[in-house]
Amino acid sequence: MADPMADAELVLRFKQGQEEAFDGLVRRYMKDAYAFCLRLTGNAAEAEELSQDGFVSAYRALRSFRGESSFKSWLYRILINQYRDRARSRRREELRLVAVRAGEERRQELAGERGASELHADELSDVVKEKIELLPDRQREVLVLHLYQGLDYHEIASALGCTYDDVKMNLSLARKRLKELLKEYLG
Amino acid sequence: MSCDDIRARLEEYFDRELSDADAARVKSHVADCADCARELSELDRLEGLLRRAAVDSAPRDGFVDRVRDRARRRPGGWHAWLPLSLAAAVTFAIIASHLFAPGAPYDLESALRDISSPDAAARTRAEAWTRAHGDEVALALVKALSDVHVERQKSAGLLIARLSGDLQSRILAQQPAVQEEWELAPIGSDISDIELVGYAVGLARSEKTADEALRILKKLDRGGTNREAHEEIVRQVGELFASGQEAQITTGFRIVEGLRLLVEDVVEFLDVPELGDRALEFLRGQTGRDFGKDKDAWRRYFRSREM
Repeated sequence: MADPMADAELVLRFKQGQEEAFDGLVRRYMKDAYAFCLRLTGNAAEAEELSQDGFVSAYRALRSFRGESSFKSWLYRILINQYRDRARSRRREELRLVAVRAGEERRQELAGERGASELHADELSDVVKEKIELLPDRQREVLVLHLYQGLDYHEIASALGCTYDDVKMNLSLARKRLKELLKEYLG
Repeated sequence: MSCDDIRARLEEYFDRELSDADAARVKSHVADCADCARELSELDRLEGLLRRAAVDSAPRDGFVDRVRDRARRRPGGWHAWLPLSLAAAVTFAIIASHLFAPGAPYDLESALRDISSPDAAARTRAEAWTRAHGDEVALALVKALSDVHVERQKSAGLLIARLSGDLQSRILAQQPAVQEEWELAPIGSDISDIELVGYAVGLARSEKTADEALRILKKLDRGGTNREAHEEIVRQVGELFASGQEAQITTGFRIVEGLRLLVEDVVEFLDVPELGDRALEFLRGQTGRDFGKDKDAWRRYFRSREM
């Protein structure tokens, strides 16, 4: 886990004109940012582009960053807003869901042949990913930020521009839904 | 604490969000309660399953270099080919020659710069120039409203806001000619977005410019995702309602109706004596439901609609 003091220090140095301080922030968060974007887009090329765009926007806006949230939350907020701007087209969203459902049907056929418990580990991981994709946007964002990016409720609230209670409620709804969707794998 | 109280906090306990004291209370309850213990273990099993889908991947090598190259590339053609320091020197030379050359022409760029100046004389000059030349530069002004640099958006907004209603309308009528989407400042520097809210609410007061104002407010609100701007819009609408003046209240409802997402915020006005009846009438009209002035019932209704 990154040291928040060190982030603030890097931000300060950048504001004082040390451009290379920004490289330090990129190095620190590129893996997290990329993994997060990969989870949102499901596509390596898009994830690379989205995470790069996020850092470029952060670079341009960093001088006006007021430090009211942590750099990390702020970066996620930029990423999520850029993702939403791109994903505005519902068509793309629909295509994604069609692809998810097709994968699901294929797997059900396989599972029918072998029985659900015999799914290979990587297939099970795909099933879980696909079920997560079926969640409504806000629930999926909260879950991913919490579970895979390791943000706490306050950090998520800050990243998504919502309240602690919104985070709590959406995370809880996401879990309820996934419990239902994954019940055959939960034993 | 009852099981219901514990259940309401069980996920926070599991996620280590509770204070030590609250966590200890949940822990001791779970030790004695089979149902809550089962719930907790289900959470744990689900978490274990979900973690199987963790992505352990990194971007391609050279990511930092690619970001650095893109971030530091100066927008606009030939600038990109110059070393940074040289580009800065050339830019400065251009600005300096423009500023200090005797008789340098005063143009829209000058007005956009001066309207945000702390110097009152410069602002007056910018206003006077725009009043005289507004029609000539209408398209450029409207384009500046959509500029990628929020400072330019703000300056254009300030210039337009200070013009007479007729000239404002003529300028904003150029809007369809501008095809580009609005591009706001990146989230995180939204202080400028907030300043634009005041300008847009100002425009919403006039019938002629109300549509344009709503378009801008919708962009600023970004479907409720830009929380700071959203809160500022709600605050300003609240002020319009609180003014007690019919025209301002009408503007307030016009904004609420146009932004749809703000509809539920009207619930907060149900118990304001001068506004309650009108707020209720508005909510009934927008939703087709009627929960009287029961704010909790309205809130529950809006929450259930979000699901």
